[in-house]
Amino acid sequence: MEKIQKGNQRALVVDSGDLFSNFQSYSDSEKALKKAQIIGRASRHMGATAVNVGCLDLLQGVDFLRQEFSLGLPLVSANLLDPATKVPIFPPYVIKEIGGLRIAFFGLLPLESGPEISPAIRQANEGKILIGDPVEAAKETLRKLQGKADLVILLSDLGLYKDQMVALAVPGIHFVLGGHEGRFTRKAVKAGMTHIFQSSHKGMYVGQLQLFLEDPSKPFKDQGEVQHLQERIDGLDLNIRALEGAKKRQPGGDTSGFDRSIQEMTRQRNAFQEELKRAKEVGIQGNRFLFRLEALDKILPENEEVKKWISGAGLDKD
Amino acid sequence: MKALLFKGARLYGLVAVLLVCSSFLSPAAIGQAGETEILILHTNNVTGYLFPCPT
Repeated sequence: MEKIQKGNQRALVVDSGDLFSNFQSYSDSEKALKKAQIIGRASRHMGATAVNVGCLDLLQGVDFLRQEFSLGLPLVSANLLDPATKVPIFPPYVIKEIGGLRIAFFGLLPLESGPEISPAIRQANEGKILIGDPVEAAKETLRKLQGKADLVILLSDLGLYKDQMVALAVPGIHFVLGGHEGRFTRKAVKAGMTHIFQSSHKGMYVGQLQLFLEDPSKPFKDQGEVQHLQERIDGLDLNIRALEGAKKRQPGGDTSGFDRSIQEMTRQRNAFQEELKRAKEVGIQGNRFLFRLEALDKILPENEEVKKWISGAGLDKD
Repeated sequence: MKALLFKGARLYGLVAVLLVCSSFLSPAAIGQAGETEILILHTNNVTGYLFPCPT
């Protein structure tokens, strides 16, 4: 980060929510608060561009989030509202200009978070918050962003299904970097013209979304498409070979079940092969993206400053 | 001492990886002629983990 900053460049680091706490440990309030404060401080230290408020982030109470925001953490949420004014408590979006492009990140959290979590959130934030409808908040945000941003990215704590609903109901969102269930996506989930990703949970992976832009008004293509198709073909080849082996080992009985499965898989394989051929012929030009998950290996250079914070808080044995 | 060093190496892996990724991959570099390359590093559901969960 220091190297990039010296060269007048900045990495865009974003989080889509549920950063600070989990439901199981938040009841140990002192330790959970210390951890949350270190995470907030580290996020500021990294120069995070935008951090969406997730439902679990409200377990510490909105006052904790207000404090983090006042310290410089770029929290965003388009549908976490002040109940008195119905105005968002934090900025609904941030716009970052990079490489001559204006990239907007806006945030959403779900109306309800499950039978155990929702009452805990209500208890921690009695009368202090109102969660607005995500689709309406997204529509309103897109209206505000018209003419202000070239690229719109939703940081979502809604979950994959609701992300797809929002993307279909609100055209103009280029990408959703989502969470809530803590899934991971090896390739984009597409809803309309929007590409959706999740990057696992518990800090096990970091998602890397690489964008190559020629004209942001045009659609994006997946640069990993050829690789994804080849992986599907390889997987089907493996299954077909396994089924053929099992069929040979079948002692004289009815093998029609194997034949049907092999036939169906061969049909799928050939269809993917045709798609792969077309993808290779067309090539990939114009706006494109490449998403990959980087596993967080434990053999990593440590950050001395953050290490001191953790030791100072008595959490290094945790 | 060794145990302490081992623990230290695991500390704050998330920040460390983001720093490493940030250092080696420029967020906005020029790719092919006339195009801009941007890198976005994303996390979700970290849920209070100070270093990556091993499982």
